[in-house]
Amino acid sequence: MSGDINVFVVDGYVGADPQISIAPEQKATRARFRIATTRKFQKESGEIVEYTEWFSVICWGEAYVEKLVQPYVKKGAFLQIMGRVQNTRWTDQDGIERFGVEIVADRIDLLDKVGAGSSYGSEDLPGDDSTSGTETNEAASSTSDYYDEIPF
Amino acid sequence: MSQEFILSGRLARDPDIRSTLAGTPVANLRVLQTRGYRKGEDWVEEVEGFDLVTFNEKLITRVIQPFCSKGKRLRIRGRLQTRSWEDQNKVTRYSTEVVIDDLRLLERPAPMTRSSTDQDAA
Repeated sequence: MSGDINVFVVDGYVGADPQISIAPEQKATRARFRIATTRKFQKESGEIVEYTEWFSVICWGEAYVEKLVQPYVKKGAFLQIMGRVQNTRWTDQDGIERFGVEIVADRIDLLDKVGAGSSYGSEDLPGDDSTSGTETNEAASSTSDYYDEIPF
Repeated sequence: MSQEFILSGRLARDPDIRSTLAGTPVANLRVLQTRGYRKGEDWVEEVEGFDLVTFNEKLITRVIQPFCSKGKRLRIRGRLQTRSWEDQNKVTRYSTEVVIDDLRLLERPAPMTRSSTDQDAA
């Protein structure tokens, strides 16, 4: 057997309340949501650049969805997710075939204090959703030194 | 906040190494990996493919160019990045690739030779 490694870890903010589908078959219950993670790094000029990346997350299983996702994973929640990355394709509302990746979560950790109140600071949420990739793209790719990044 | 992606797999083809307009090198790689899982009574294997990119000159000239050819087994640490562009029908398209932070060859190391140390020093 020659399997391969595929481990993805991310921390960030939940973009909107999850879409949950409860299936009669226990394992088929699932939740979908998006998470935004923002990197900050300093350019040589001293300017601090922020770059936000969005990920689709899918999480399977009744126990996880009902006990963790449903009560705690809300818009603005701050999470850490570990899982694997898989390619997906779908047809959008205009009939255009789309390709992307999604994160199949193995575990979700809440990095907020549980019970700290019902409203998360949604002002912390990065503004945009899927189009934020372009303008800082070049800067983000060309910086190869890990420690230029601001570590939070 | 951060993200980290660790994957292993084999190179689907030789790396594509080019120069950007600014004259710095860029390398594009495609890695295929398999994932096996039980489906009822059966064992199913699926192949996933990932496109990788790096602008790291040292990595390109010292690791990718000399050692990474089609079929080589690698482990990569990096992060996912989604780019968007407009296709010929003015439809916005997205593609996600792995920006490489580190790349290792998954093979039994060859004994250190004189020439390889000379190369490192140069």
